[in-house]
Amino acid sequence: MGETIKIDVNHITRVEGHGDIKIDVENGVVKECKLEIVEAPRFFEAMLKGRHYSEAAIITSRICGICSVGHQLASVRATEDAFGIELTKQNRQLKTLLDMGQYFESHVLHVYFLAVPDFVGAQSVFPLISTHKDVVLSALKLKKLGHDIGDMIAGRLVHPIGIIPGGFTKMPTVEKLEEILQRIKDARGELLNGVALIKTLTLPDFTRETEYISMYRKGEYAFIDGNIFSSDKGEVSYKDYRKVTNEYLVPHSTAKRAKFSRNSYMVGALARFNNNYEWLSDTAKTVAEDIGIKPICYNPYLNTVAQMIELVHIIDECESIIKDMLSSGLKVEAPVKPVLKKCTGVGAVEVPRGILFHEYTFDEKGYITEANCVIPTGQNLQNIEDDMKAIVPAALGNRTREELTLDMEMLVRAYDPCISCSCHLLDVEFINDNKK
Amino acid sequence: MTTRNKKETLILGVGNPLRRDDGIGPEVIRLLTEEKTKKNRMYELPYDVDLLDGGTDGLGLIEYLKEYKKVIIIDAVEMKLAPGTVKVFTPEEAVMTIKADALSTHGFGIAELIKLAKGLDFNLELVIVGIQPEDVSYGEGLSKAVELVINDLLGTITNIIHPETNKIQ
Repeated sequence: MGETIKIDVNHITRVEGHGDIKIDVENGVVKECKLEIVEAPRFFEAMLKGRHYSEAAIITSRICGICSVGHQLASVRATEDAFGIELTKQNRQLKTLLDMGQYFESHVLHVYFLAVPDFVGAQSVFPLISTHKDVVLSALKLKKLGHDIGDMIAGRLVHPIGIIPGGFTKMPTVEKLEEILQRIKDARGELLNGVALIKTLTLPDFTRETEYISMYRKGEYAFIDGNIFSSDKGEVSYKDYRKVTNEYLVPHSTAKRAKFSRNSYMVGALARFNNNYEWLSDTAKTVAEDIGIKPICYNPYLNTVAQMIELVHIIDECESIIKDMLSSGLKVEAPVKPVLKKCTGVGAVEVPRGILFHEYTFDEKGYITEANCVIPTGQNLQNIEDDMKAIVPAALGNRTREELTLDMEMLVRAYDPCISCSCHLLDVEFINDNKK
Repeated sequence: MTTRNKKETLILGVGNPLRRDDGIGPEVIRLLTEEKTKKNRMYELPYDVDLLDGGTDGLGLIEYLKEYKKVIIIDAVEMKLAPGTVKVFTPEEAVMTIKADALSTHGFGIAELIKLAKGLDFNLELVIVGIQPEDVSYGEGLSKAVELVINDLLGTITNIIHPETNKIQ
């Protein structure tokens, strides 16, 4: 007779949104092992129908406050692709900087505030304040830098307003670029302190071979344009993204799942690291070697480490882009106005959590007749569940119920899923109830 | 953290206007901002008081707390009192529910924000003006109970800072 374990984590914490873990092992046989997504469907694609091309990025940005830049970039890229608008060098640089600003904000938050507490045995970021105060302060500083890069490029980092199909409505000033450049240089040291902390952590030792999917553009660590790359099948045109994502539904999830060559695939920092390692900056490669992570790395828990390495790369990339912009001189470029026609376009962008696709079809007046958005977290769900199915049987007899529950939660958190948004209301109870 | 180079006072309204009474914080900021542009003002604020609608951004607001000597937070607060009741209190006077293990960006609220600011030793004087909501269901617009106390509420807020000493009273 084997073990009988029931795990039911209702609402996994330190992930963005609401998901549950259900595990049922009876007499050593795994009967159920799943990640449930119970949030209401959002119907954004349906909302887009009948809306003008100029509204698409504003609407889709609202899919998420955390990922708003990513959705705007993918949306604008889809519209530009549909109307055949080519990126100028400067437009491409501005978009890349904006994307990187978001990586800063998002990765720093995930690594320092959501994931690291697990590895130091803390329930949240708060115990870290007493043990690693400098790390928390430096995380806040780095996060702010990401925010200010977004402000500089597009007015603000949350639901930006400066990015529209065909270009930007405002330009950064030379003074601002110089200020950000200086802060980026200063941030490098702070980030390396974080790397030193990451190095001391012991991450779960688990590997499972899977397929990694990311953007690909020869000679670059691709962010805002390029094709799709599968570690199994190689390059696929971004236009053929549906052949890669093959979305489908399962009864226990309101989020769609995806599969390509295998039962599941992974997107995100680890997928990019595995597929595009070659084009990481030299410092980022040195950091990776120093930590001891090499491509292809099949341990999903190391997604958090890959995010840290990406941050190092991004510091270098931001520095080189801004230096180039300053030396080439900023040009005033009016946004390109699309010539309206019946058309379809795809935007594929690497956002912090993985490759994101938007696709729109427009009528001859520029109104959307069909829309499709494929979200990184959805693409990862089946892969997470497949990891769970590999971890649970091996853990039987070796891990207690509590340990296994934590293993599962850490696994889900490592993928940095973003499930959705909600409202906050402060709850208090008074100690001395005598104030007016 | 030293107070040198810090700005004086921030009135920070937080909450979600799409959850009815939870929008009282942002509504107060809107009204006080509007008031500034009027010739005949009912409420006067010292020149070095800044106003900010913090929306539902929890963690992001930490940057603002860092910049000021004094912060007055306006928020709908579940105090189990009659709807529309206004209370002024300091963080030390209340047990604020920390959803420590439920922490994500989406779960990072004012209680977490204050705890973080304290832990990081921000040299900061903090006052909360809590308004008991009646209705925080989905939708726009404030309930009658909360709407009725808005004038009193604005008076309370503008009286927190002493006009001469510039101190929180």
